[in-house]
Amino acid sequence: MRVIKLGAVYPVDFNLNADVANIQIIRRRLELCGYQVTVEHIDSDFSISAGEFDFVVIGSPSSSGLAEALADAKKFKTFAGELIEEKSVVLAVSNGLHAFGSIVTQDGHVMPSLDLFDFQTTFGAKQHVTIAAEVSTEFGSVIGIENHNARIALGKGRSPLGKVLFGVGNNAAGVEGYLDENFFGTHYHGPVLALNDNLANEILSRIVERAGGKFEPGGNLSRLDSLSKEARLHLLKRRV
Amino acid sequence: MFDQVMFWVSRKLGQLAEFAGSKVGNASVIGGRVALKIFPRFLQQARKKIDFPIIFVMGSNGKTTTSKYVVDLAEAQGEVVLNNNSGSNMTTGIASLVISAWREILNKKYTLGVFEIDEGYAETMAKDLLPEHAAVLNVQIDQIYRLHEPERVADMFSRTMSYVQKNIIVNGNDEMLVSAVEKSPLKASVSYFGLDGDSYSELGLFRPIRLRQGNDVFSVQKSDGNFKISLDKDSHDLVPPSSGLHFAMNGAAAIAVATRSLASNASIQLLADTLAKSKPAFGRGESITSGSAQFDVILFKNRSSLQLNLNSVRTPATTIVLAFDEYSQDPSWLFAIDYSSLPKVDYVSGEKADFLELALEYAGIPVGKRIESIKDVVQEIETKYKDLPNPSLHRMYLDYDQMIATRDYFGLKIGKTS
Repeated sequence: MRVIKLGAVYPVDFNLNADVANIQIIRRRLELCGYQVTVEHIDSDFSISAGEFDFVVIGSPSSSGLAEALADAKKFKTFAGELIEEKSVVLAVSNGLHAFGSIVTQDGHVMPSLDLFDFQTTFGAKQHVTIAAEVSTEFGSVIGIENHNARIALGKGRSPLGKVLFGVGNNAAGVEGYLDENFFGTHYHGPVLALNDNLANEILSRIVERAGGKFEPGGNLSRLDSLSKEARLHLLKRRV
Repeated sequence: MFDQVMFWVSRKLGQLAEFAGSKVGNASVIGGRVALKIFPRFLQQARKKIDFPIIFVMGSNGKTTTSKYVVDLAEAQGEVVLNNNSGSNMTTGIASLVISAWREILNKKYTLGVFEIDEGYAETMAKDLLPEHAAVLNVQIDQIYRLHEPERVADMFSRTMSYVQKNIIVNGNDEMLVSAVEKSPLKASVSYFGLDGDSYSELGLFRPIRLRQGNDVFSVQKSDGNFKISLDKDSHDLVPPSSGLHFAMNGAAAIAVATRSLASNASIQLLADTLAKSKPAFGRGESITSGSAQFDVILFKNRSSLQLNLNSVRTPATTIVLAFDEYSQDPSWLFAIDYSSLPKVDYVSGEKADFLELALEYAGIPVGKRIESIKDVVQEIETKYKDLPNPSLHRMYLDYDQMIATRDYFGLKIGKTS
C-alpha cells in the first residue's frame, strides 16, 4: 500500500475555528494504526494535482476570506472539481462547505461560488451558535460546535450529512450538512473528528481504501477514543 | 435637572449594591450594573464631572498589560491615575469604578484615567465618555462564539475610534486597523507602533502587514531576543517587564501612548527606562516564589495569546502545567495551537482539562496527570519542591479563572502584583 497523502486548502486563512486540526487528527490516527502519511499544504497556486490527495480539509474562512478566495477562483474550482472526480475524501466546514454550492447570497447579492454541488446558501443577520449540536448520521450520532449565519437549501434528491437532533444545522428542513460519496460537508467546526471517533473511523476507512488498503481500527486508538468520549460527554452536559 | 437626579439616585443605589455585594464577596461590577439599569446614561452624565483626560486601551490581547504599563509610565511622571486594574472592562466595570471613585473624582484627586475596554462595549463607552486618547493594540481571532469573526471586531474598533478626541495609537502591523484609520474620518491624530522588518507574522495578528516608516511610527527592532524602540532617529533599549515579543509590543504601545498623551512631554528614553523597572501585570508572566520553588504564572485568554506565550518562552522548566476552564465556551481553538515547543506537560487542570488532554494527545505531547483543581496541582508541586536545596521553576500556562485561583492560593489579590 502506498503512502497516504493529506492536505489542507488555504491552511492559514481557512482555519478560523481550527478546522485544519482535522488533518492532524487523521494523521495521528493513521500513524497509530501503522500507516505512512505525508501532509501538504495547498495554497493559492494549487500546483499539486488534486488526485494525489487521499484526504483534504477545506476549513472555514471568515466572510472576507471567503469573498477573497472566491473572487478569482478558477484554479480553486479546477482543483476542487478534480478532488470530487478523483473521489478524494473531503471534509468541508461551514464557509468552506458553502463555497461548493451553486449559489451563495449575502445581503441580496450573489457571490461567486465553486458551483460544484446543487445547494444554495443564503447568509442572514442571525448568528447561530450551538455548543453541543448533534446530528444523526448513517455513521452514528455526531456531536459538534456550530457558529454560522447561513441557511442551506439542498437541491432535489441531494443528501445532507444527517438529521438535526439538536441545534440549527442547515437552518432548513431539519437537516445538517451535505454528503456526496466521499465529500463530507458540515457546519460543525474545529476538531469534529477528534470529538467523534465514529465519523473519524468512517473517513479513515475511505482514505485507506482509496490508497489501496483496508482499515483495521486497532487498540492503539483506545486512549484517543476514551478521551474523545469524555470530551463529547462534557459538551453534552453543558448543552443549553 | 432630570439627568442630575437620575445620576445621583443610580449612583447611590449602585453604592448600596456594591456594599451589599461586598458582604457576600461579589462586589466587582454589581454597583455599575445597578446604576446602569436605573440610568443607562450614567457614564455620559458622569463624564460631565470627570475633568481629566481619559485613555482607552483596546485590542484582542494585551489590554491589561498595556494599561498597567501606561499607568506605571504616567505615575512616574507625577500623574494620579484612575484605572480599572482588576480587569473589569465592560460597561458595568467602568461604571463600578466611577461609583467607587466618585468622591475622589469630585475632589480632583485624579489627573488621568486609563481604562482597558472590552471591544464589544467600546463604541457605547466611547460615545458616552468621549476619551481624549486611545490605543488599539490588535485584531486577533478571539471568542468566536461571542464576537463571531475578526472583521466584526475591526468594525467595532473603527466605530469606536470616531469618538476619540485627540490621539489614537494603532498597531501599524495590523492591516485591519491601519485600513480602519485610513478609511474613517477621524477627529484624532493617528500614530502607529509596530515591529520593523519581516517578522510581523510572529505577532499573531489576523491580517499582519509590514510596518511602514514615518515620523508618526514608534517602531520596535528585534535582535537576538532583545528589543529597541525608535521614533525617527531616536532609538533606545526596550526591556518589557515580562519576556516575549508580545510584551515588547505592549511596551511600545504604552510608550507611544505616554509620548502622545502625557502632559510632561517625557522623552522616549525616560519612558523606556521607567518601563524597564516596572513589574508584570498580575498573572501575565508573573513569578511567585515559595521556598526554593518558583512558579511562573502565564495567562492565556485565547488562541493568539497561548500561541505567543508558548513561542516566547523556551527555557527549560521542572514542571509544566496547562489549565483551562469553562470561561472559554468553545474549546475548538485548543486544536489550532502548535504545542511543539513543549517537551511534555506534567499536569493538565481546570474544568475543561479533558479537552486540553485530547488536544495534547493528538499533538503527540506526553501528558503526566490530570487534576481538575488547580489549587491541588499547585499544592502538590509546592509540597514536593519548596524545601529542596536547589531552586526549581514551575511554568504554569493558565486561563483567567485558573490564574486567579492560583494567585489566590498564594494569597494574592486581583490587580495587585506580587
